[in-house]
Amino acid sequence: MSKLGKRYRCVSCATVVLCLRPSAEEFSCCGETMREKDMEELPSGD
Amino acid sequence: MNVALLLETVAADRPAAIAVQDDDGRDSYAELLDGARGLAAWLERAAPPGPVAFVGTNRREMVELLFAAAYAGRTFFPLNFRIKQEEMARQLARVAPTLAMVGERNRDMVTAAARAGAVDCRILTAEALVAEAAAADGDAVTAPFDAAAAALYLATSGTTSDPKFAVVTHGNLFEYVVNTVEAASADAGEAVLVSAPTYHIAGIAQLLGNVFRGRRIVLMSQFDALRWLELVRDEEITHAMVVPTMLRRILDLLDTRPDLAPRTLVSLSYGGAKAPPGLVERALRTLPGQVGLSNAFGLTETTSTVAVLSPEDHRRAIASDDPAVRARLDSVGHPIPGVEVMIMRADGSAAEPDEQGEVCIRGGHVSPGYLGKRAALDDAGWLHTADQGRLDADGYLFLGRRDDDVIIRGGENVDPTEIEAVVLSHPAVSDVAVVGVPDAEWGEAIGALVVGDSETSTDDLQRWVRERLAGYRVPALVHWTEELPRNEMGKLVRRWARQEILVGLDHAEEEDV
Repeated sequence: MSKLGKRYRCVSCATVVLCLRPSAEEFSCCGETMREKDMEELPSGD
Repeated sequence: MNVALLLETVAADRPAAIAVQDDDGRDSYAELLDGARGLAAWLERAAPPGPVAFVGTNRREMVELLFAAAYAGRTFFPLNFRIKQEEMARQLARVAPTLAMVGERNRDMVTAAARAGAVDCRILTAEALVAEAAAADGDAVTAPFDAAAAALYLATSGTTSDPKFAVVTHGNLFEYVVNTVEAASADAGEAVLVSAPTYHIAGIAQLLGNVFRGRRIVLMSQFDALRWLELVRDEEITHAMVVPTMLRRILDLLDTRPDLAPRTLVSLSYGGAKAPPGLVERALRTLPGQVGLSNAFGLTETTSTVAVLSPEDHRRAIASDDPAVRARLDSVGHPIPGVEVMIMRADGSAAEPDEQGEVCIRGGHVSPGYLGKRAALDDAGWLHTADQGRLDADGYLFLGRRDDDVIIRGGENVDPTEIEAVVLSHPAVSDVAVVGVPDAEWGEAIGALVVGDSETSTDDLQRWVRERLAGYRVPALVHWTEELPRNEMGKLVRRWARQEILVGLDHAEEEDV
């Protein structure tokens, strides 16, 4: 499943997508399922 | 997109975790979600379609209403509870909410303002509204998925003119939050103290960002430095945001109450207005070493923050002997993900590094425009902020004066910030605002509202400026005051400063007579 606000990365081409609408489906790229990206520190003002 | 999905995501991840608390109680993420959906179902039959207003201090029911409005496809319209009845009547008439949640102490004034503005608006206290909605079943409620729909109407702070109402869409808020926050990423012990009012975009953005992060949100009804430090200690607050005026009051109190030093705080951001000279250095010296300071710059029209000076930038700058690195304490840092910043020349081309121009901003965070007025963006999607600024070679954004602030004296354009810097360098001066005041001979004369040792003579101050700047930049009118007029976000309101100088002038003339 794809989760809102999570980032997914293609293991082949390194493309990253951000999920803006959750779904039971999974993202795929270059013929493979994209992997959920590790959390990263984002610059936030709050 | 709909901001209600931010809450749904976290409520699914950690339903039992505390979402929001105030002096009267606390709600878990599951309770907040249930409450918001129930309130949304009730809204459908309680009031005709239209915006939903809120007038009051920070409280849990307000957060519920914010998400309920999103579920119900209504625009949330928080008003400044400090404005006068006449101004509130104008704002209510302009936006025409059909329902308002109000604090008990605001009810009579809002009722009178709605009557004066001929607004057909149902007005309920938070307690009455929640009690009436308690039996509503929100199980069937789903959030409409419309990124272009207006989530908020916010009066811009109007420091130079009457307020306009920025339209902030669900897409704007959503992009801001997901570009700066990882979903449900807060550790169990993290807690954020929200003291900014929600009629300001900083308060709303801080709420939504921290909901999406899954932090415990502690609401402070109104800022008070002692209460703020006590809450940090008692609630083991780890994150907070303040405006410079609040920061100064916190530091003042810590001078006499070092026992209240915020031991649990790891992140303190400041913004909403430019920090006065020396305040950031003082904060770095005074606050415990684990506190990371961030400077957040943004506008209502950009859905809060567009640039951040990080804690690491602060630490590097204060430790550096390099004047260029040290000067970054005066910058607002780098643009955040999803935002483009361009310094634009008058001909529309991009300025070179360190060249001054107008700060222009583009991206999914940027509001499409104002209620009932023209779009805020140019044809290429840029928001022209009217702030002068520059980007240095390393991409740090420095802000200068606003175009609106320029004084035109006898056809000469005069930058008030240059004069302010010289007046501030006088040893007897601690703060100053320089503004144009109407003048029969010159069109505008230069006036200075000065905070400092009033034993210093006006002649002495004028001589100080004359020795350092061209004669036409010397303030002709100097008025001494206890404190500069700032709005509740700490932003200098120049039209109030102008008024104070003019009133002072009238009194001086009366005394002469």
